Amino acid sequence: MTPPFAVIAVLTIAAAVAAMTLRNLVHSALAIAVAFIGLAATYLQLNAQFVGLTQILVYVGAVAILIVFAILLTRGGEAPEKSVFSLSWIWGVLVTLAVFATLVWAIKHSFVVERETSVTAPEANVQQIGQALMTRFVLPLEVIGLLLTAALVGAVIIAMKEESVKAKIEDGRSKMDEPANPSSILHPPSSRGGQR
Amino acid sequence: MDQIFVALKHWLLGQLATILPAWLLPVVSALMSIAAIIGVFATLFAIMTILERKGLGRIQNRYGPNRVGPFGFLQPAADGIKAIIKEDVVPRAADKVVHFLAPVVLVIPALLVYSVLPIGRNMVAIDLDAGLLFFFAVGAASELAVFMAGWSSRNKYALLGAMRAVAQMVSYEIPLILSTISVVMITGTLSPVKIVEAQSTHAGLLPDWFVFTPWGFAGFILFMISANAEANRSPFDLPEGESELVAGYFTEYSGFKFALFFLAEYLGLFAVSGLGITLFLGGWNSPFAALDFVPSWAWFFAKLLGLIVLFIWTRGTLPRLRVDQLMNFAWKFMIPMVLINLVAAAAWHYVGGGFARWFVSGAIVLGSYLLLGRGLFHGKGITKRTYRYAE
Amino acid sequence: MNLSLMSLEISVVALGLVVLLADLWLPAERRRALGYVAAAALGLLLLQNLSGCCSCCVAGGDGTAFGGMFVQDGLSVFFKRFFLLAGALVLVLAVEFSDRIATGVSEYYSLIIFALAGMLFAASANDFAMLFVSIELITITFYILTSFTRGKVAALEAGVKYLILGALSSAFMVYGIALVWGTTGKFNFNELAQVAGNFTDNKVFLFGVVFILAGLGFKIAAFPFQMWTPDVYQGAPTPTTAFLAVGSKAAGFVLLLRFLFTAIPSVTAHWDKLLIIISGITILYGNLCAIPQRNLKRLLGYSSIAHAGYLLLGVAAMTSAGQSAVLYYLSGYLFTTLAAFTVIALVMRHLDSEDIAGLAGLNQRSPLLAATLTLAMVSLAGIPPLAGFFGKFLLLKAVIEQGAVNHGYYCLAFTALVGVVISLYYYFGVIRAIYWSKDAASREPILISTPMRVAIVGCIAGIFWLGVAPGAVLRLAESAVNALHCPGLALN
Repeated sequence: MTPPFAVIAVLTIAAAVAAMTLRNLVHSALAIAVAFIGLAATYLQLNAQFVGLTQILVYVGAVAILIVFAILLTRGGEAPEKSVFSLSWIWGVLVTLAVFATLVWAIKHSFVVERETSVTAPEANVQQIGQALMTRFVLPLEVIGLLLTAALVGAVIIAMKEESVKAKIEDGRSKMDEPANPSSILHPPSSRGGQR
Repeated sequence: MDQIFVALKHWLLGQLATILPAWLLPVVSALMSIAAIIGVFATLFAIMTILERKGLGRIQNRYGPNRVGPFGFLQPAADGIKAIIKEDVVPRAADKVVHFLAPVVLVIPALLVYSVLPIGRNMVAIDLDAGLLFFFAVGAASELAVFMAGWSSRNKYALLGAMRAVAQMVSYEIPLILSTISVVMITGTLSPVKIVEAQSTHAGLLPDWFVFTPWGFAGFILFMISANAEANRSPFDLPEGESELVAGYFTEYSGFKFALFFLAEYLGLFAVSGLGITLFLGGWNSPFAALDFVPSWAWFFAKLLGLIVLFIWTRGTLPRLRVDQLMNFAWKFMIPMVLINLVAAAAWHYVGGGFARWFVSGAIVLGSYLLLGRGLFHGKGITKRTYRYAE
Repeated sequence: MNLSLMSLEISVVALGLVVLLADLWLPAERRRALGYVAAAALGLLLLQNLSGCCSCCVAGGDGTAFGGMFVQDGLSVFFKRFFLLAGALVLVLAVEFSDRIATGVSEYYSLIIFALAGMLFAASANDFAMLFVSIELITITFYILTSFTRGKVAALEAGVKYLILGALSSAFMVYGIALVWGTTGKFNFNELAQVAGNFTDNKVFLFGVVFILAGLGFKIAAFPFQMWTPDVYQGAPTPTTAFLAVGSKAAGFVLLLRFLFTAIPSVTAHWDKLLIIISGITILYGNLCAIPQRNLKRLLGYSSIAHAGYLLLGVAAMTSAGQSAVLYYLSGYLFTTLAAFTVIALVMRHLDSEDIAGLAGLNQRSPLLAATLTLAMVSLAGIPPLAGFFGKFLLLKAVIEQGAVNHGYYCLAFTALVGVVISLYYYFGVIRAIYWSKDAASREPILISTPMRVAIVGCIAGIFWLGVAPGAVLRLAESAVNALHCPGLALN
């Protein structure tokens, strides 16, 4: 374990822990952005330039922004009054620890077999990645294109305003509010300045 | 003359090598590059502010700053001193930590992107294989900083400005990146240095800059429009429209932090202009072989100044867009146009030499421009503007 | 590179895009009929595939494309026909349902077609990249299809539950793929099969396999990953539920079969106990939980879990007889389930919930629908001479044949029989509601459009045909399964 790796690892894990434990959702979102950057740094350290930079571009530039937007447009980003933890978090921690321990055990015990088959770290530059994507993996790439088209259509459909009369509410629990309208940048539910 | 700064750095490093331990040398070398970048571009920032204020003044039929120093050219210094000694006011309701971090997070990526820009021959801080990707990846981080600034201020205007800014930056990032892809397709590399090298030859009278091809010309225009929107400058300055949002996402900042926002904005503008020069305007290459004796970095900065003047001119002459117009323009014109531009670039590559590729590539770009432009204005009923005065 | 192998997928994707674009130029009142056009187009593709393959079997139309990533063999052809048929029937059902969709009817059709394309790719996937990408295409499309009637709270809830659990299972699967790839360095199933034997002791590799199985288990709603099923089945629009029950499950099974028996046969051979236990628990869980259900779609959700368990019997048997039984059972399940959901969509049209009590008086309102639902329930329960019976018979036969190897198989067969007996109770509860309940809410006859009638009669014919004359489909299934066991054939 080299010193830079140690620094990056500690930073990443700390950010991830912060993302879980912070009360304010926006703080959590920012913390997870830091964790993403830490992961990108790990990739860069492993000489995977393309993956590392793409990680930043996609996760910090798009995913984190998306999370933040989702938080602001749905619940105002105000910190909850009481703790977000319920009692069941202990079980979560236990399960996590169990999975982690098993994985560590598995990795420890498979080391010898892995050695025999491990190949030298491939020197993958951007050009090779591009060529692989456009030749060998072109079919999955195209299918992903189809997937994104479907997702885009779906996002538009689900966000679109209902044209007809409101559909009947099935379980009669409560009258649903109008579906959240993501285009209402002009009416953010937050920004209650000075109310704290 | 061309290599004077490179030689200077090597000489300095050679001198230091005698004093310092070997493992420190790369660090010192990096620090020297960083210092040079910060120094040069911060100076450029000062020059631009005064240029902009005087230029806008002239466009708006007034003088602009003319009190401090000769012709008001020391105004930036006065402004800088003012920003530093002003009281730093943080709103009581603000989220203190995020409020403090936002300007820092904004300035760091704005400076980082310079590390891959080739400012002159052999003058690039890091010659990354995926430099272009680095530029955009790091640049993307600034969106988060803008959001942090707007959200942490707990101010309606700031939040509105931040939301507008982020929405705008996300939308215009797509045409910005896609318009550079055509260059990547033709050169087959993501390294800015290699892209500049690909434009270093001369064909006849014109240099082989990509802006002198149909796809490159369209790409350059699209790139500059997107860059303008990314930098939140007029006519895309909705996030900080004074008449609507006071100052947008940095309404609640004062003193030095406010100056940092300004600095980051202009640094971002220089960086993206520098990228435009690198990709389309031949980078540090001289336009004519006869002018090769002028140092390469001088060409880069000459081009940069030219683009800056262009930006000031645009800002002074165009009115601000509405939000819906902004988004319509991005999704219905810019993005289809950059996608078609990729086809035009592919046609350029595959049609072969001579007049044919000019014709095919040009026809694709021009035809789609006419069609999309007509679609954009369809049903808008735009006629000759008439003015009504108060009676 | 053999692009002609993919002509079917390409035409289906093109059809989806055409439907999506046609919306732009069609007047609003004509959009509904677009579903019929799309269904007819899928039917044509199916016919062409059926007629085309007879020649292709002779001419050697099998093969691989994209470096063995995409494989066209008996198994994929069988499943592609299966998916095309299911897609066409679901589209007809969707037209019937379309008056309950507020906006985006043609988007609903085109998303169904995109999901169908994903299933077609899944049928041919012979590589982890294709496996993951096709599964994601199916799943993400289904997230949207599930919450399409977003005015309903139940639909939104179903969509969110499916999204969260689906994302979790995808994460497991990707992690598993990463581990498998990290240890073996192979992406292609055939290449992996050659080296998998060396890794049977490698814990990391086995973890990867388990994680991939977890992801696939989510798709087929097998035991530890079944919790999404009832809620999603209940909340989703009925055509979506039907497609989820038939298409998505079958896609999960084809990938499971290929993964277990083409990619890692040497590992699978040791895992009979795991498969037996999962299969047994799934059967019992599905059947026991179905008993108290009053909502018909929820009941079918639990029954679908139980059927996943029955289908796993054939996988657990690990013989070609078992695998062909899985294929056969799925074909029967296709007709039966689609028939049941069609009736639900028609009968429950004007009711707020799909409560079983809403079936009261169905016999008077529409004898055809009453008969269809009865047949479907009887077939699901597995009573001769319908499709369900013969399928269960084949599955149990395959399991009992293996009993000599491992006595666990006898226990499994016994569990399955217990499950069948339990299921009789709730399936007959539905039939009782149709014929013997007095307090019918409405007496007006139910109108059935002609395409719908054709679809229903087709389903009934299918149920009977598979039950009475199983020979043809069984032969197809057997030849399809052959492809699993001699992948060398697919490679040349």
